[in-house]
Amino acid sequence: MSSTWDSLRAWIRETLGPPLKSIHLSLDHWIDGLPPGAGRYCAIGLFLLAGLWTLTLKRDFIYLSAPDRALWRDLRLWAVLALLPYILVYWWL
Amino acid sequence: MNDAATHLASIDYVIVAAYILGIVLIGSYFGRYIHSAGDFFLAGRALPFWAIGMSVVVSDIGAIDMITGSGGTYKYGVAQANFDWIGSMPAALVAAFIFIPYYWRAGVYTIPEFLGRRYNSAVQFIQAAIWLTFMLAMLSIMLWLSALFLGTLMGWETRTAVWVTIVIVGLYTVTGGLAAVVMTDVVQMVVLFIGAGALLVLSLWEIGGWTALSEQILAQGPETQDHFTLLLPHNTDTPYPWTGIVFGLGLVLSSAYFVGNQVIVQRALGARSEWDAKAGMILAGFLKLFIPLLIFIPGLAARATHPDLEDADMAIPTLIRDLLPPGLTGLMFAAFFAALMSSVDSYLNSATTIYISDIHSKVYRRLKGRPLPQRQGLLLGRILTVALIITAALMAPIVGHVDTIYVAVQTMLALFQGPTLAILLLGILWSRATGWGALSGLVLGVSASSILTLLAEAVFPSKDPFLFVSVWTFLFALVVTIVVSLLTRPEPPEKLRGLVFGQILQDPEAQALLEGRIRPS
Repeated sequence: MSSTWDSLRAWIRETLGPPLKSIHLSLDHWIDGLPPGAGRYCAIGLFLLAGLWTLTLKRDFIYLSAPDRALWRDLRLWAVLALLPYILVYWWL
Repeated sequence: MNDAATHLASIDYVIVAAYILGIVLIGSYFGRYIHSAGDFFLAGRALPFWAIGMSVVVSDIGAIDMITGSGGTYKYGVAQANFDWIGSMPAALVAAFIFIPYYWRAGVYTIPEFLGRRYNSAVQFIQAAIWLTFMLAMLSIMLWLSALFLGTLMGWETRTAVWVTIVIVGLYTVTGGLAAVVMTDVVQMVVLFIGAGALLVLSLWEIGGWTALSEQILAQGPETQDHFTLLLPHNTDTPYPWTGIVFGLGLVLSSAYFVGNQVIVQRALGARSEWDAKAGMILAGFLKLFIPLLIFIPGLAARATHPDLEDADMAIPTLIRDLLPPGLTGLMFAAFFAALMSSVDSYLNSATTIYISDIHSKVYRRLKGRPLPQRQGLLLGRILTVALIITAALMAPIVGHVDTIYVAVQTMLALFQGPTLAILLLGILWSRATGWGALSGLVLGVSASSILTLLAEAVFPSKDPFLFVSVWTFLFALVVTIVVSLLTRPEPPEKLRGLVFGQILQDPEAQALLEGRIRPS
């Protein structure tokens, strides 16, 4: 049983390994060419994108089933305020 | 007895005993409100946003994160914090504003149940089986870690520690269901923040502040030069290159976790209103900001004070043993127990919910031709809770022998999180996605994950490449689901009403269809 399993693993490794590795490596080379701060900008970009998208949500959707329409219940504000410290942390570290 | 055991003072024992007794009493109190399976599994749909937010955080940050998270920081530095930072807030927003409203309005108990309604029973069953297996493994791992920690602190034998934990957690989870789990989680989060906060302050005080901490760690040689870099270079030797963190964790794994993990979503499903469900998720995303400060900085402090630890996962237990005075040791012990109990009770309750809702109820309906009675579901839920925790305790010594538990858990998640996210995303956003498409995407996606995990060393240059596996399998499952969906017959519009983004949701007829009160014409 274990020898069948081992030969199956070896077969998968030999047939699928090289083509998948070449695809991954070509992407790797491309990423290696990116400027050093690329990771930070991508991470901050993700937070900014999430915040901007939240701001586009309609008021009626945000307040749906809320007991009242008080400003503090506006979840768009919650989202933006919650995102700010994350953006600062990724900018700083 | 363990030689490294901490000698707890009387005051420590008093604090720990008072904490455990308090939690059991609070949890058991909620048993009086449990009259049906709905009360047991969804807390009677009465949870406020603050309880949901706090419970999500403390269920997610369990004993595993306290021990292995700080151990990861000890080995790899602050990059470990990404799991709670970029791995939480964006995903929490996606969950709050796209997925949770649909889950909540559909009135489902579980994510597999939602997938069953949106696609078919096969998708529901496979998802339920995957999650049940994962949760059982997680429960065993958590119990094993508790034994490790208690062994270091108290000198208890492994088996004793495991059984003490299951008796305490079992007592209130069996009686109080989700309400007990969430409300004890609230208390546990406060205790966790106070206990871990004390350790953070004392460890920084001992070392001489943040600057001294960084100086001491950076002076340890080339191995620690990236310990204060949040996003590590793409060609790093650690499992956390920035590409994997941003795309694998930030886009795929965290989203799958927040929108597809029953433990997380179940709290929102028990919300008293849709607004509370959304607000609870955003609050959880915000509270996760503080977790790395409480858990990972002590990991760095251990690196500075004990640079030669053989097992990185012993960073926090060692720090507690060496730094904390009587009283605070008891508080920290209670905090650890809080983290452990909150995760164990959550996984226990969610695993039971999935089994009853997605497997037992379906089989019962098929055999008897009628739905499972609520009281029978409640009784069965309680019996199953006991059976599950005993099984997990028996399995604990087996799963506990994995070398790096944190990476092992993430690797397990990466096997099915990518495909799960793909079919959930398409299910909500694309009305053309069909049951056959989702089934193919899920089955082939999980198979592809398994093959990629087997090929990890041959394909990926980085160590433990679970982050990349999740990205590739997400994309693969997405493509498979789209292609097969386009080749198969579209789902009837009646079936999709209220389940797909952009459809009218405040429609009593759609709601009645969703709840099964009327049949599609």
